[in-house]
This record gives sequence, C-alpha cells and structure tokens, in this order.
Amino acid sequence: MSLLYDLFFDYTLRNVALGTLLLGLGSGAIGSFMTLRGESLIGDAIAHATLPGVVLAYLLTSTKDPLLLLSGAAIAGILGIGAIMGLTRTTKIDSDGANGIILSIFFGFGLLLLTYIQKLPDASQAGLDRFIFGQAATIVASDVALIAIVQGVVLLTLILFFKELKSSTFDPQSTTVMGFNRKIIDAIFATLLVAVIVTGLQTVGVILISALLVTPAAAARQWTHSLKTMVILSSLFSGISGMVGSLISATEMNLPTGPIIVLVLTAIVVISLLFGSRRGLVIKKVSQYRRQGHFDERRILLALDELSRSHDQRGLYHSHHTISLLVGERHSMRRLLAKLVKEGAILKEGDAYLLSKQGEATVASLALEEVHHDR
Amino acid sequence: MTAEIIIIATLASLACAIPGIFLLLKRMALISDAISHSILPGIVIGFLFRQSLNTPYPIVGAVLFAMVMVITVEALNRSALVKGDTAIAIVFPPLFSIGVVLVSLYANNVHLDTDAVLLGELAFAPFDRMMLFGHSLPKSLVKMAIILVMNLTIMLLLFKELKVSTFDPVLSRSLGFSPSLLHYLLMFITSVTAVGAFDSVGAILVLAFMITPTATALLLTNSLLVMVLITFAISSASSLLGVLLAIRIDSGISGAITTIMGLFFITAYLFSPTVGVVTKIRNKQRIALEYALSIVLYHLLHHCEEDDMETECSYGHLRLQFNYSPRYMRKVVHTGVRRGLIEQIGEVFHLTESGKETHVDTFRLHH
Amino acid sequence: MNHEPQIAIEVEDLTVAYHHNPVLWDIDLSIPEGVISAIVGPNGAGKSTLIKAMLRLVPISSGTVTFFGRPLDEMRRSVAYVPQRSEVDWDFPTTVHDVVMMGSYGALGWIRKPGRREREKAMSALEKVGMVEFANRQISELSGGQQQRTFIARALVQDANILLMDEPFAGVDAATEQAILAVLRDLQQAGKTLVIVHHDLLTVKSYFDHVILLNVHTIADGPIERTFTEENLERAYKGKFSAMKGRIDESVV
Repeated sequence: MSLLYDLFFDYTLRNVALGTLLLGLGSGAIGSFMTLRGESLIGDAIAHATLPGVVLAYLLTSTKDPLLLLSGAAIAGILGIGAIMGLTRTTKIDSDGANGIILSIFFGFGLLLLTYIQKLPDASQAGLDRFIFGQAATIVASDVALIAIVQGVVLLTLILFFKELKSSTFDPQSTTVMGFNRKIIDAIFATLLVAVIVTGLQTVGVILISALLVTPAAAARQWTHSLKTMVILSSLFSGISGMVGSLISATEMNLPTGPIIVLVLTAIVVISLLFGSRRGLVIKKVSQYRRQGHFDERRILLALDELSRSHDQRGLYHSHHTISLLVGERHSMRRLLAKLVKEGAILKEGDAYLLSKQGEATVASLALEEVHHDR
Repeated sequence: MTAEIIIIATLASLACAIPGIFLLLKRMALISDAISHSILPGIVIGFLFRQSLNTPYPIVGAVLFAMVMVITVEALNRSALVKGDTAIAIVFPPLFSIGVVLVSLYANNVHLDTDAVLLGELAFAPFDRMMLFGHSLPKSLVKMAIILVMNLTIMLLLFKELKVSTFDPVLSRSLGFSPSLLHYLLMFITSVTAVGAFDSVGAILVLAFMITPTATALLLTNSLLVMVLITFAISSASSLLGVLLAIRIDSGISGAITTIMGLFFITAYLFSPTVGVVTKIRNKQRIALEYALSIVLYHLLHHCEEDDMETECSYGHLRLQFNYSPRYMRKVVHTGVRRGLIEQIGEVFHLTESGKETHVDTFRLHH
Repeated sequence: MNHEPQIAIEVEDLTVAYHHNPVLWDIDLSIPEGVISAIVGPNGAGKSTLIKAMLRLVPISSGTVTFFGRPLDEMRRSVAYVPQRSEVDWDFPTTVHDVVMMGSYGALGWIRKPGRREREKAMSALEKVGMVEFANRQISELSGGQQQRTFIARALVQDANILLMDEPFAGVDAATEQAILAVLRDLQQAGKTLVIVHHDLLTVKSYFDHVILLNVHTIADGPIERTFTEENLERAYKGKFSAMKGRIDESVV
C-alpha cells in the first residue's frame, strides 16, 4: 500500500513511473514495426550511435539542458541510421555487420569524447554518462513532459500512417507501385524510431533501450494474428513493464531501474512464448497432440472398415493386435479404442472390435470429405 | 608503462580480431556484442565466489553464460516463434540486466563496478601485476597473451575447416567437418576472448575490436588469407596510435583505439581501390560514358537498317530516346565520332564499319 | 466494347543494367489492350526484371514505358502488380481479408483509412477467387495456391485495367492452376489486360493469346500463333531449346 501511496505522492517515484510508462507505450508500438521489418537490432545500433551527439552537444554549448543534449543525440541517431542503410546498400557488408560497425565507430568516438571531457578541469560535465546506463531517478517533471510530448507525437503519427507503414512492411514493392513513395515511409519510420530511442536514453540508457523495442513486440506477436492488436499489446506490455519495473526498483533494495524493467519484460516474453494463444509452445503441443489423436481415431475406423471388407464374412470382430498391425503401434491405442467404444463408433467384445452402424456412417462421410478436399 | 599498455592493447585487439573475422563472414557480427553483454552475470558470480577477478571462476562463469545465450538463441530460432535477429535482441538484455542487478546488490563498493565492466580502463592494467619466470608482468598482459596464443593456434590448425564452414556449411558437412562443432568452437573462443578483454576494452567495445578491422579488410580484399593479414595490421596500428592519442589528449584508451579503427574503416570506405566511394565515382563516370556509347551504338545498329531511320537515328530522336541531358548526349556522340565508330550524314547518324565490329565486341563482352 | 483496341503497354528502347551489366537490352514491345500475354524466356532472361522495370521498381538506364500512352505516374490507378509469392513474409500478422483490403490503399491515398466500402470490395474480390471461407484466416496458414489467390484478389480490389503478374502459377497444384486461370479469363472478359511472367512452355499455347519471348533483348512479341514458333523459341533458348524440344513438340506443333 505504501508503494501505491508513494506512486501518487512521492515526487521522484511518480516521475519515474509515469516516464517509463509513457516511454513504453511509444517504444512497444514502433518496436513492433521494427521487428516485423526484420531489423530487430537496428534499435540497439542507433541507441549506441547517439552518444557522440550528446557529448558534442555539451562540448559545443557547455550547457546540460536535456532538450539540447537530446537534440544532439537525435542528430547522431539519424546520421547512424542513414549510415547503416548506406553501408548495406553500397558494400558487401550485411545488415548485422553494418549495425555492428556503426555502433562501434559512433560509440567508440562518443566514449573518446566523453572520457576526454571528464578529465577536463571544469567538473560540471559530470553526469553525462547517465546516458549510457540510464538513471531513472534523475528524471524530473520537465523530462516527463518531454517524454509525454514525444511519445504522444509518435503514437499520433503511427495512427495517421498506420496503413502506409503496415502495407510497406508487408509488401514494400506493391506499396510503391500503388503510389506511396518508399523513401517517405522509411523516413517516417526512422524518425519515429530515433525519437523514441532518444527519449529513452535518460531512463534506461543506450544498452537496454533496444529491449524495450524488441521484447514487447516479440511477446505480443504470440497472442495475435492482427497487426493492430499486436501494436496495442506490445505498447501495453512495454508501458506496464516500465511502470512495474520502476516500482519494483523503488523498493528498499534500491535496484537499478532499466535492468529491472528489462527483466519484467523478459518474464512477459517467456510467458508469451510458452502460453501465447496464437503460437505459444504449449498451445502448439496441445493442438499437435489433439490433431494426432484425431488422426489416429480416423485411422482406426478406416482400418476396421478395411478389415471388414477384406473378409467375406461380415460382422467379424478384430483383435487389438490386428488393428495395431494396420494402424501402427501407438501407446495411445487403448485409450483411443475405449473412447471410440464410448462414442458408439465401434463395438467391443473381449479384446476385439467391430465397426458399428454409426462407425460405418462416419467412415462413409470421411471418404466424401477426402474427395472434397482433393478437389 | 606506456609500452606495456601498448602491448596489452595490441594483444587484446589481435585476440579479438580472430573470432571477429569468422563472425563477420558468417554474417553474425552482432552475436559477439550479445556475448560480451551476456557474460556479465557469469563474471559477477565468478567474482563473488572468490572476491577476485583474477581467478579462473569468472572465466568459467562467463563461458557458461555465453553458451546459455547461444543455445537459447538457437532454440528460439528453431522454434520459429521469432525471426532472425529478434532472438538475439530478446536474449542478451535480460542476461546483462541480471549482471547489473547482481553488481548493485552484492558487489557495490568493491572493485567491480558497471562502468569498469562496460567501458574498460586499460590505463589501470599495468598496476595489477604478477610474477612469471622471474619477471614482474601485468596480469592483463599475460591473460591476453594466453588467449591470443590459443586463438592463433585454433585458427592455424583449423584454418581450412573454418574457411570452408564459413563460406559453405553444406560442403563442409559433406567433407566431414561438423559445422555445428566448429560453430560452438567459434562461440567458445569468442566468449573466452570477450571475458579476457572486457576489463581492458570494456564489454561494449569488444564488438568494435572484433569486427571493425575485419570489415575494413573486407573492403580491401577478397582473399581470406590477405584479409587476416590486413586485419592484424589494422588492429596493431590502431592499438599503437590509439594509445598514443589517448595519452596525448588524456582520454580513455579503448574509445581512442576504436576511433582510430573507425578512421581506418572510413578511409577504406572512401578510397578502397576496388570498392571505395571515390574509385566508384571515378569508374562510374568512365563506365557510364562507355556504356552510354555502347547503347547508342546498339540503337543505331538496331534501327538504321529500317525504314524509319530518318526519325530513329536523328540527333533529336537519340536525345529523346535516352534520358540524358543534351550536353551529355553530345559528349557521347562526340566520343563515338572521335573514335571513328559513328559518322554523321546530314541529320542522321550511321555506324561506320569499325563501329559495327566494335559494337559486336562490346555486346559479346556484356554476355 | 466496340472500340478499336488500343495499345495497353508500350515499351521503347528499355535498357536495365546492374553494375553496368545489361539485364535487359534495348527492349521494344507493345502489348495490345485486352490480351493475356506471357513473358517467356530462359532463366536469367530478365523476365521479372522486365515487369519490375515497367513499374519502376528497378532503376532503368534508358528507354520509356507508357500505359495507354501515358507515363506510370499518371496511370498508377490503372496498373496493379502481383509479385511472386516468395517476395513477402507470410508470417506477417494479418488476415487474408486484410491483405486483400490493402489493394484499396492506392485509391485512398495517404492517411485516409479504409471503411465499409473497402471492406465490402475486398469480400467481393475474395468471392471472385473462391476464397470467402478463408477471409479471416491468418495468412501463414495458407497453401501456395491460396496465397496466390489472395494476391490476385488484392489486385482485383485495385480495379486496375492492367495487371502485371510475376509467376502466378509457380508452385501451385494443377487444380489451383485451373482455378487461377479461370479468374484470369474472367478478368480478360471484363476487358482487362494481363501480362504474366510464365515458366512452363507446355501451357503457353493453351493459356495465352499473346507472347513476349525474351532473352535479355526481345526475341519476338505478338499474337501467339505468329510468335510462339519453334524458330523463335530456338532463338530465345539458344542451344537449350533442342534438349527440351521433344516435350514441347507435343503441345506446340
């Protein structure tokens, strides 16, 4: 209860929780498009690429105004994403390699600048490295306002251009033929991505922001076959993880916020991969088991049908063993036979079985279905 | 002391380059980044075991966690629940996060802090020393030397196999090398190298040390052997120049080395004699002219036997036909006339005899 | 429908090069309105590239392409593209109905959302290709033939007069091939022009009434009887044709 009380009345906690919630809403949404475009690691590369922008903005202006530093980050991020696209297009380096090289060069240069200014006599630059690790506790009301505005604009833009982004993610060529300029759509996507990443730097830092983009999207995908639902779910997963994570990290142990948010998100993705209603592993296993059972039942009926036809004398009962010879040994055989007897499709006498009238009808309809299916 | 730092930096960058070459060629450069982040919890647990980084425990822990990451990523990819890089992107952040949480819970105020792990500080390396064969040597130097020797040995022994499995996993299997065994060997040396290098290079820039010099070499050659040599040269040169730069401007060392590596890469990207931007632009202009000339020749050959040659082969029509500016079109036709391939009769252009032959040659060349 | 058939697509001196190696060389051809035309040629002849170049999906080095005498940008509403099935990710989270509805996006233009009219149009397109019962099916659960029919339904929604299709018969079973063919014939009846990249020489004569024989340059183009001759095929397929001639003879001659 006291945590809930703090959420409303503790200034820092309220800022952190609200900031991470809003950040998650935007990141989960744009992250869905990022993963579906097959560019899951570009967010990681861009996040790292923002560092020299932050430090250069500070070096050139000597202020620590977050708006200014984040503008620097955004410029570096846009340059980074442009460089990645350019490298993959003009050289034989693949997208993985291009992401890695741009991440390395930009971040390495940023680190050079950062370590350089940290050793300058003027001590006021301390704290720039919070952009690397993220320090949720340092965000203030004006930061939350900035996050709110940026995420609001991002979500609004996504809603406006949802149709275009969806079509071009699924089938870029046909979208181009229909008259939507691909460069414009790519530019919209890149701008939204950089905007979300840049506003997340202060709270979760360059290393973990990528998880807020990819993980909720991968989780959401397991629950739905609709893009709209996926984007909304992903957004909620990320937002809720942001808030829950920041609340957990505010408990007595004083854990770092970014990693805790990532762990909450990971719990969600693990649950989704296992139990997701559309593709989750458990669902898959269960339906595979059911299908196999259903399939074996049919094979038993067909086997009995075949047996009765191959004998001149109708109405002979056939042993469990004979059926197994035709269907193949299954450890589920006894269970399935019992089930079919209970349903009235077959008759049982001792350990021998015969197709009932009802069973014969089922076999006839199966044959019809097959003809239909072939057509 | 500067000499020692340069030696450690060179050993680290060479050791990193070896797995990096094969990772980049196997198009899985970012797995090295994922490994260097995933090993953090292993290092922390190993550290907590003996309260020291210079025992084998952190290395064992790191390798274990790297393998956990690699195996999980592969299982996820096999399940087809997620695609491509998504598996990497969702597996390494939680492992890294566990590491950070462990540090904040148990290792606060001790030698292990996240800054050091992530960013590394080579400048401190010479202070932590050990005695070996009667000499006092920095522990990092010994550690990186051992890892480099291990990587070099594995590379030399398995160069042929690695080459085949990198370029053609199917052929490799049919020849009897197990690509998956080699794959795990590569993952193993990547994680050992990453854990060895992380306290001097830092987890983030292990990636840079592994792939930037190799990517530079890839822009300069197509031969694996030459690529390895160029990579080693760039790694060594960057280490030397990077340490000197860092000392000169009083900055962190790994950032400085990476920046030099980045400069090498940008230089190769711009000036590579085969694929560099400048070469490409220069070639493009030359080839474009040859190309424009050859399609004009083809057009003339194609149409000038026909009845409509008056219209098809006039200057005005040629200009309309190809999307070239009037000035460029004039230059193309001029080149043809100067080489004696085209002649102008009135308003209409014709191929000369040698023009017809040349055209046939270029056409054959193109096929 | 008593007007003089016009030229639906006119290609003049089209050349496409990748890294200055020509893939298509000085292509001239014209496709009359209302035909089903096959683009035929050996592997690497540039068949898919020709369609993509017409649609400006690949950069062209020279030449012009016009649709009913006008450039593509003025005619986008009239042209629909059906890519090869393998060119998209069928694991994308969407339903059959939704993919078909994407065909209306071009007419809607930027930002405007599809509404009831577009949904109904998509349903009637699905009806035409016999896919109504699959409307709410997730696209990853479709067979190759069903994927192809989904793509064709999307093109129907576009109400285009000209449809350019890349290998619509590739990897589908015989029954689906006939079903698709029936849809194509309906489209032709409705006055549409269809241009189809096709790989099966055996069926060219029975499926199409116009053909473009391609091998980097145009070998021949025109009505099927006049153009799809042994001599032209020999030229298009060079030596390779003799090897398969025995099989072709049965259907061609």
